[in-house]
Amino acid sequence: MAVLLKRTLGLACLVCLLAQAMNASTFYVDVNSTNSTQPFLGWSTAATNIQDAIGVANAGDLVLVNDGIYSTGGGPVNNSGVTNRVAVNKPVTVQSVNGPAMTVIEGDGGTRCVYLADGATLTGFTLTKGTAFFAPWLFYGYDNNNYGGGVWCESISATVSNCVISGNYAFDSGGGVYGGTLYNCSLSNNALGPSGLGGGGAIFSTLNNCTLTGNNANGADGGGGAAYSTLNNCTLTNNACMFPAGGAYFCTLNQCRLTGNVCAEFGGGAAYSTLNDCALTGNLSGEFGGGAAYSTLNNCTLTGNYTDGPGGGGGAASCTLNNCIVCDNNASDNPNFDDYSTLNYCCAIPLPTNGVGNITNVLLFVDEANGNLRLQSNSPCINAGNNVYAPPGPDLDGNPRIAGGTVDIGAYEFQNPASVISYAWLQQYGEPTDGSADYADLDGTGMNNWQKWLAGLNPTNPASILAVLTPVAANKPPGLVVTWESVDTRTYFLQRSTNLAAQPAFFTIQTNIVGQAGTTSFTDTNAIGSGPFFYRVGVGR
Amino acid sequence: MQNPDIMSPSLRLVLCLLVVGSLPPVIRADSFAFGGPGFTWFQASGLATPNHIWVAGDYWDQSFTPSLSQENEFDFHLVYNDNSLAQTLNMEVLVNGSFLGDFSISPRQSSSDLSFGAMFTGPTFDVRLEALNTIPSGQNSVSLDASGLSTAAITIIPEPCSTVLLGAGLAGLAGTIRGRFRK
Repeated sequence: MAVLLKRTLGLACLVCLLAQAMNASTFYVDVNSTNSTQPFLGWSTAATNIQDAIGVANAGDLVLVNDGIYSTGGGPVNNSGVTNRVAVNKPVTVQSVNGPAMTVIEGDGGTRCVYLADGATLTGFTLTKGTAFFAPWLFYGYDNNNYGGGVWCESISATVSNCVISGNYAFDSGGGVYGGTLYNCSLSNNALGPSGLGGGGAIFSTLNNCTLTGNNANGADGGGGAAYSTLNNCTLTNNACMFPAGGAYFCTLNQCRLTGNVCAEFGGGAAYSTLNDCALTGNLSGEFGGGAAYSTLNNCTLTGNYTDGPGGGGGAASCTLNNCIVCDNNASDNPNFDDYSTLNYCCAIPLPTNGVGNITNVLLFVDEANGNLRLQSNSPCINAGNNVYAPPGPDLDGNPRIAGGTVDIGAYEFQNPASVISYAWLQQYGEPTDGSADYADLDGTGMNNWQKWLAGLNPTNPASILAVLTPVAANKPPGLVVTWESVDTRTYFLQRSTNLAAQPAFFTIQTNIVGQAGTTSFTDTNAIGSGPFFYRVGVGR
Repeated sequence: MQNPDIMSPSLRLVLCLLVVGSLPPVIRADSFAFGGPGFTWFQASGLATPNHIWVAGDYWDQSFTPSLSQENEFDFHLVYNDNSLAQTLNMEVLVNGSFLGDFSISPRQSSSDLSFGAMFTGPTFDVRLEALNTIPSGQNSVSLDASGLSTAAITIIPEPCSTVLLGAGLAGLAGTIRGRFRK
């Protein structure tokens, strides 16, 4: 009976959904229509401007737009000062028939191209010549009059897809776009005024698979390409700003490419941002941090960036870099990274002193001169990162971020490593990287290469072992002092047993013990009495 | 009046009837939220997003059906979730088409707490918050939250004369009961 009831309810829900879908209407727009007649339910009676069709549409409806340039109609939404060529003030979809190359929405000196309300969608248009500029000397609080020259979205629930947003202007923020979620869009040559929050291309937006090219934040706070946005798999090229961040300002960037962005202050590629799996190449800043400044970068590659200022850090300045390649950047002082940056598990020149696990080697990119920054099959960066810092998503190519058990250094993961050991480590000791020596015990210590690599030991030195020394009784505090041979690039955990026949025999008594160069000690204050006490040490990273 | 023995039976009867006539005897409040099926919004331009108003005659409207059919206290907590007004918008409150009171919404004001007293008869109370002036072009608008944050409390509070009548009626009722016991 219950099953029957569930099935009946499920069927009823399905019928309701179908009925709702069937109730959605399509309204037609054709700029060349000669018989425009409400309610615009066919091509023969299509509206000549998009706004008229939106006026008769209801939530969930589709407004279908034929080829042409749409440069009339529209109005201000919510009594704002800026007129919108198309004001999508309800959750409908406005879609072109043949895409952005054939369908253009034009603003003008006092008209934004498009306004999108919550839940509205715009697909397949070119938006150009839009302007968001009204009474800048007045501040009305929540003022959308100077935001989003191309499109102003009420929230990220408004969607823009497959659009070209080019040559728009906003006085304050978001020359191309303000808000919204964008898919497969191109934002180019949009600009801001002499002051404002920033984002020549976009601000407060989520951009997926988008390109941002030649946008300019001019005198705004920062972000020639984007500001206060999340960018996934986007390309930022030749964007500019007079202040910080030619490319991205206060953004999160995942799997993005930042190239040739320029700013007069710091962070030619990005400033105050978090970058995961990104490549920053050929960016330029006037003061410091040609690639990035005041940012956190995980698994990024920075090369060919430049700063002109005395602060240095052609690649990065005042940044935290993990699993990153920082090489071949340029500056008069500290060409790759400045003294205020911290690098962990990075490949950089010179070998960083702020941070742990770094290497400085010949990088072996596939073709650096032509911008192919993928790793050659014998690159020392393979398996040389730390999984703790690996971003959760794919690498810059969309491939799995970790291959072979340990993340690589840099934006691209080499997908089929022959060895599971850090190539830099193997090469350091003259060992092959083809996997043949992974489990060899070269020095007869009973520890193979893989174990010695995990423990940070020298595979060719019999004295370099992970061994527990004889514990010593302590009085203050009472207990046993356990000491083992260690390195300062590893953390350790310590386990104790009082009965080796028990199952399990050992219990962890302390984790995350930071290793010291030479030996490390831990006082087990619970080891009181006659014992016996047995100890073993494990390696963390 | 203090001694029920001197109260004639006919007087007792009249006072008892006063008990019935002066009902309801207690304060009773019903609370509601703006939103849902009973909520409507009107804006004249056709280029507004939900619940935004700025033109004289624009309104927010909600029908309430409290448990009693006569109410004389209307309290509102109005939340404005998008107030970008550059000038003050003057408003009036209508109940079933009749004037209840007025208020205003200033630029950047995020909420209003209003209290009005007047007797209206239901059973349904249609509350309309209507704009009295028009904000000039380009100086934006205001929207009312209709997702549960804006609320109305509709209450019946006994008036003083009703309370006196009720007291007299109760005295009569007590006298009648007491007289019967003495017999």
